[in-house]
Amino acid sequence: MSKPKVAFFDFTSCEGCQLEVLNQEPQDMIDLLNAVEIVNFREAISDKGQDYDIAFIEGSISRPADETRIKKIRRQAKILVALGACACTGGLNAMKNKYSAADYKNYVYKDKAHYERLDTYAVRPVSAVVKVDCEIPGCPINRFEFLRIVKSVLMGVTPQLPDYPVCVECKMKDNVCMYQRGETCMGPVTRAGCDAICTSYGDPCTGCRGFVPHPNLNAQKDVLAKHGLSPEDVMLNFTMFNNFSKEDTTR
Amino acid sequence: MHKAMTRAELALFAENLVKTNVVYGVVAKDKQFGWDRILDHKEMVLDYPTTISSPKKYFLPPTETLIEFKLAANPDPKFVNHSQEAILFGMHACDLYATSMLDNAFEDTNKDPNYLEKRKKAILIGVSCMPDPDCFCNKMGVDDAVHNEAKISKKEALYDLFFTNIGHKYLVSIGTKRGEDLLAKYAKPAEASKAELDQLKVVEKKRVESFTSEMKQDVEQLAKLMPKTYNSSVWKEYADKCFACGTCNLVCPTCYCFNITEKVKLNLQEGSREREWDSCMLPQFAEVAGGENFREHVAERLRHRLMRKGLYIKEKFDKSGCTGCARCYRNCTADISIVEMFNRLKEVTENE
Ligand code: SF4
Ligand code: SF4
Ligand code: SF4
Ligand code: SF4
Ligand code: SF4
Repeated sequence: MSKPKVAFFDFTSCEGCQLEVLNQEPQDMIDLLNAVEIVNFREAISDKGQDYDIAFIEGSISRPADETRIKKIRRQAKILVALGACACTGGLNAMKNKYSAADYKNYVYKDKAHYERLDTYAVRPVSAVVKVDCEIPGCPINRFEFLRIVKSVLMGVTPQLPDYPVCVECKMKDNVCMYQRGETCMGPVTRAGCDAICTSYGDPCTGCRGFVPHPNLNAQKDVLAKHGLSPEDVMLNFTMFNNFSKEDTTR
Repeated sequence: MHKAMTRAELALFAENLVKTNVVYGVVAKDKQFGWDRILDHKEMVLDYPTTISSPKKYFLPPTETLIEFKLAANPDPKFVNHSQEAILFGMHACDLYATSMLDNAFEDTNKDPNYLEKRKKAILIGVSCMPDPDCFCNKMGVDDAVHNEAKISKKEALYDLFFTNIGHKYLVSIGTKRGEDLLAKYAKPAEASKAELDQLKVVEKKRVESFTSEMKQDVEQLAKLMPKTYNSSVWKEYADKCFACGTCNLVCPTCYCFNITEKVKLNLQEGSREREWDSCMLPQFAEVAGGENFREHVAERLRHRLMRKGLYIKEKFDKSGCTGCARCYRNCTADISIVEMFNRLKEVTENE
C-alpha cells in the first residue's frame, strides 16, 4: 500500500495547532512519517504538492477568498479533517461575531482600520462551508489525540472523540476541582480529550474543545452565577470559544 | 487486642516503613486531601476529614494495560499486571469497607487477576476519623472498622492494622497476622493500659455523637425504599441540574465499572488492550451496537446510580453499596447531594 499523501492548510488561525502536530516525541514523528507522506505543510516544508488524499485544515473561514480556497481543497481531498478550535467551532475568532465590523476593526487595527485587505465577515467553522469528515478540537489541539485520529483514518475506522466532559479526565487525575479552589471552570460542559491539561496545571478550563454533546448549559450558567460570576462574565465564558456553537441541549 | 503508641513512636514507625516499602498515604492538596505515594513520612497526614477520590485507584488504576499483542497472524498476547507489594497507610473505616466490597466484585464469578494480585500484595493500615458535616457512614453501618469487622467480613478484619487517635496516644488494633508481623518488625508498642482502653471508649462515643448529616435512612430501610422509587418524579428533578459528568462515580470508593478498548500503535504493528474507569452517568455507558441506549436520559442514569448504591449491591453481596463517605456530593459541581436525593425519594414516595 502506498503511503497516503497528506497536506496541511491554514486559514484564519495562529498556526499553533500545526506547531503541535510537529511537537511530537521523536519516535512518534518517525512512525508518523513512515505512515504518511506530507506533501504540503508551510510550517515545516517548502514543497507545495497539490496532489493529496488527506487535508488537515487549520483556521476559520472569515473572507470570501477563504470560501473559494476551502471548496477547492474539498474537491481534491478524499478526507478533510478540521484541525483545532478555529477550524472546528470558529474558536477565539468567532468572538468578534458579537461586535460590529467597525467596532472590532477600530479596536484591533486602530489607524489602519480602513485598509481594505483587513476586511472580513462573520467567522465560521470549516463545517459551515464544506463537508468535514472529522474534527480534532482544542486550542491548541492535543498532539496525542492528533496521532490517535491519524491512526483511525489510516485504519479506515471512523475516529471517535470523547462524548463526555473534561471533568472525567480531571477526576481520573485526582485533581482538586477549580470550584473547590474558589475559581470557576467550563469543564462540566466541555468535551474531554485534552487529558484535563489546564485544570491539572491549576488553570480553569475555558472550553476550547467545544461543548460536549447535549451539554447542560442552563446548569452551567447557574453554577457560574452561584460561584460569583456576573451575567456578563457568565456570557464571556460561553462566547470565548463557543460563540458560534448551537447546541442540542435535549437530555 | 490493642497496643498503645505515642505520636513520636507512630512517626518513627511511619518513617521506618517509608524507608523500605512502597507506601501510599494521604497528603494535603490545595486545602483538600488526596492519596499519593509517600516518600517522606512527614508529608503523610493521618488526621484528615476525607480525600478527593478513594484509594481504590491503587487496585483499580484509572487506566491500565491488560494485554499487549501484535497485529500479525500470531498475535502473541502478553498479559500485563503491574502489581507490587505496597502499604496503604491511613485508610478510614469507610474506605476499608469499600475495599472489601470491591474484593467481592472482583472475586465474583470471573476472577480479575489484575485487581486481585494488587489487592493481595497490599497491606491496609486504617486510622480513626471524626465525621465531617456530610459524612453519613454511621447510617450505612460502616463507621466502626474495629468493632464491625465480624459483622462485615465474618472471617477476617478489614484491615491489617488500625490506629485510633485517643488524644495523647494512638491505640493499635491488630487485624491480621501480617499486620502483627509488620508492627513487630518496625516498632515495639506496649500493651494498652486499662486507662487507655477506657479513653478509647470515650473517643468512640464522641465520634458516634458527632454525626450531623441529615441522612434519614439506614441500609435496610434504603433497600426497602428503592424498589418503590423506580417511577418517581424525583429523578427528573435532579437530572435538570446534573451535568452527567461522571465525577460522582469516579470519586466513589464502591464504583468499579470500567471500559475496555483496544489500541493500536502508530506503527500499526503492535497494540494493547486497555481498561479505564467508566461511569454509569456518562452517555455511552449503556449504549449498545446500533446506537440504542438503554439509559439515554440523565434521569435514568441518576436512577441507575442510586439503585446501585441503595439496592443492587446490597442484593448482590449483602453489603451496603454506599459507604456514606459523601465524596460524590462534595465533588459534584452541581452540588447534588446523595443524602438529599435519598431523603427526597423517601418523602415523595411516601406521598405519591
Ligand atoms: S485553535 Fe488555537 S492554537 Fe489552533 S490555530 Fe486556532 S488559535 Fe491557534
Ligand atoms: S476542575 Fe473543572 S474539569 Fe475539573 S472537576 Fe472541576 S469543574 Fe470539572
Ligand atoms: S482543559 Fe478545557 S481549555 Fe484546557 S485544553 Fe482542555 S478543553 Fe481546552
Ligand atoms: S457529579 Fe454531580 S453533576 Fe456530575 S454526574 Fe454526578 S450528580 Fe451529575
Ligand atoms: S455513593 Fe457517594 S456517599 Fe456513597 S460511597 Fe459513593 S461517593 Fe461515598
